Amino acid sequence: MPGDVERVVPMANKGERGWRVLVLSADRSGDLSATISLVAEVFPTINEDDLLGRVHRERVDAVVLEAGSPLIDVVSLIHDIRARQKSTRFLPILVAVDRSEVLLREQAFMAGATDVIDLPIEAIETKARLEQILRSRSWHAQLAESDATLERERRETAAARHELMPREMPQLPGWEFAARIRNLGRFTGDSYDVYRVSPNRVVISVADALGSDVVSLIRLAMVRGWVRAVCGRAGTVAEAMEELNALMLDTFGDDGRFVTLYLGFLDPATARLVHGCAGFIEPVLWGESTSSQLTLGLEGGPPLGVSSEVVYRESELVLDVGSRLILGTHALQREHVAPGSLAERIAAGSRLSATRMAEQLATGEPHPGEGSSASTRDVTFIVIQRRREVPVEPG
Amino acid sequence: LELILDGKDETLTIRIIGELVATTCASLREVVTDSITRKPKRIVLDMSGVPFVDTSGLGVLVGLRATLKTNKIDLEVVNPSERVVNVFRLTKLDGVFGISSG
Repeated sequence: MPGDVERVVPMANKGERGWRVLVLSADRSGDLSATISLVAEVFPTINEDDLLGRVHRERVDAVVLEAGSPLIDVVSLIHDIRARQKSTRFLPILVAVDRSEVLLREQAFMAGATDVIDLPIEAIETKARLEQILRSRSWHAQLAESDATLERERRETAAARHELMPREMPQLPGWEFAARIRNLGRFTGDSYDVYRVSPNRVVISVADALGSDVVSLIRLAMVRGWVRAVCGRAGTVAEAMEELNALMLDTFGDDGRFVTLYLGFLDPATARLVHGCAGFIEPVLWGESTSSQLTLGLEGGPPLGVSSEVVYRESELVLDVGSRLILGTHALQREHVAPGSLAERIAAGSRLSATRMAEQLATGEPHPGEGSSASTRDVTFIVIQRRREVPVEPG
Repeated sequence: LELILDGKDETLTIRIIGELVATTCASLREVVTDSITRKPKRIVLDMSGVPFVDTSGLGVLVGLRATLKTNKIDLEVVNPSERVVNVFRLTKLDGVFGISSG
């Protein structure tokens, strides 16, 4: 009728939501169960053992216990429910207790009750309170599921990243190539590749794609493929980096998700290394004769995928016998701006084999001065050592 | 991350206070992207209050540079600390950004 106001009170649709509540109560009047049934399906239990058994056997969304009854030790029961399984640790437990039983209410909360329901029962408030708790539980369950899915994806991404790494390092007389990853179970966008494309060229690449998601993994995989394709035919490192930069920009645009890259062409016969960096932190060259870090003064350019208006440059050096080149994807973690820490660790491990040094650098405890970010990120270290002067047979 | 915006004439200056790292840099991207609707000719990022920048922070700056360039807005990075300048130098991004001290 015009002018009439119809008040629509939405009813909780327990069938649709399918919430299941176990109730242990004397509840002689039946008010408690009747109120709960407005929101959820009620499953009465006959005693504490029955309730505990069903909590762990059946899918339950909440438990309602009536305190004050001599047959129910609410505090012990809450402890038992919480202690038994991980799945019931956060199960909503509501305790129905007389409004005047202040001490019992406090004990229930101290024992881990989620909320209390006042007795005698106030149906509208109880219904609203229970509905809110059950709704929160549903949200938490959804969040937990999403978290588990994300975690699984992260682990799968991390595992896929490892598939990009070479199965083994080149075995060449007079040289030791070693790589180690500090793997914290999460994906970060770093990867390396060391392989021989011709008698006079061993390609060494270390790439770090910005980000820690599937997009980074895809970029990393593509860059690795491009490096393999380009470095087999490129005349120089600088040319290769320019081509890789162009491929990055053509494929992904300049959206800020850049890739840093170290690229080196090593001639194992002459120990001549031609190399360059695209935003990658300069490697450390450690000299055996001087037992010190030697300055590389490596040329290079910004990371790949930043700008088409850059010219990449390369540098050249001959690795002396006993010297080693150390490459790390620790770039821009805090220790890098805490001067000395990495160099000190390299100096401490200078008498170790390349393999042991890479292990120590990658898996060693963060050095004092390394910030918190150092321990939350995977790090890859590659150590290349010229061991002794043994000429490499061409081919 | 605290961002203080100051628009004068056709220049929008954003003073950044706090570390520009993976957990904070999204808010800078959001604020600068939203600022494009104000149609400034130049956006100046005052980094005097930034003690540290990581690769994610650099990524946001690189991405913003490209977005603003598309919208014909100049981006300038000013007053970075020595530590932050060092990060730009190490990654060879100092030449890409017009970094100045004032």
